[in-house]
Amino acid sequence: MRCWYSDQADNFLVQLQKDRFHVNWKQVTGKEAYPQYNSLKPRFIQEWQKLCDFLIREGIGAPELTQCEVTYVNHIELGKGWKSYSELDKVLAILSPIRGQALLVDPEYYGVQAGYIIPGKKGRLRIEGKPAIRRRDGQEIFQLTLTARGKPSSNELSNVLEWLDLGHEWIVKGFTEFTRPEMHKVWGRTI
Amino acid sequence: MTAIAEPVTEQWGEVVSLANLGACHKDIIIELFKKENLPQNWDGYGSPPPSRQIINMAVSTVSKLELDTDSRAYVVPLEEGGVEIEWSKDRKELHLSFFADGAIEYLKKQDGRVIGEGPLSSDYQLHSLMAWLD
Repeated sequence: MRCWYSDQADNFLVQLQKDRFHVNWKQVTGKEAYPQYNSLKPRFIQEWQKLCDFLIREGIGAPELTQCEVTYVNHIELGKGWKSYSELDKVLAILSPIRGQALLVDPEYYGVQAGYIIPGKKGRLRIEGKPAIRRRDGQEIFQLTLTARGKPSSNELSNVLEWLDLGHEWIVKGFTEFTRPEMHKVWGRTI
Repeated sequence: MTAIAEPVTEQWGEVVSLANLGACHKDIIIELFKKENLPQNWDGYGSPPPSRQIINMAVSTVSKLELDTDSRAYVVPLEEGGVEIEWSKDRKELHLSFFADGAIEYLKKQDGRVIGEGPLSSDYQLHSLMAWLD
């Protein structure tokens, strides 16, 4: 069973199931400003503590953590700095130019998958990129999802937050390295 | 009156993946999403836009098709919250209608005359219809 609790604007979503607890923020109309990790963290702490308090109060016991996860889903819009999948190397720093070859000149679509170990047995960063269409406006995008996953050193909230900070750091720095600086300017990214 | 499609959208339904799909699929899916975003009473007769569930069924059905790069499709909303995809090639036309109650029906035309119609009941039938159009 999976329960979703969303706020009125549908931007915040708490997902609760037997083996998962998620706090999500998502853009719905396209006009909402991204709230940044540091302002989302208090929301996570509040919801997590609410859950833990409830479980303890009901005699169920505090949750035993097996993994933590931070995920960023980025919508890279076609037409803003790149025009087709043959130009995806303008977006992704890991790609070499794929233009000007004899046969495989202009791919209809292009996807990428990569995984990186976070040293010290802290976990992994996974990156997945794939073409998609955004529902709310029919915009074609390249959806680049970065997921950091690993086990905190204990169930204590301080250790959980420490791990989430590490996951966040790997995602932000990973995104910076995975994508081209020229595109960061197009997106107005300042890191 | 059999729905053969499963939702293909991601967890929160924000995007549809285009992995393994071509430009023809993309054009149809974009048009389907535009129909989902139609206003209430878009036809002046009180019709609602197609629901998310109906659009998902249509997207899922289209995603199963091997479409020619030169195939051209038109997507039109139907009254009472349905949506229809129409293909035409030479003298043939194929219409797939997704109704608000979840039913999917096909209609075949040749030289402007209806030569077959009925509920869509299987993927095999779907592929046979597309093969006929070719």
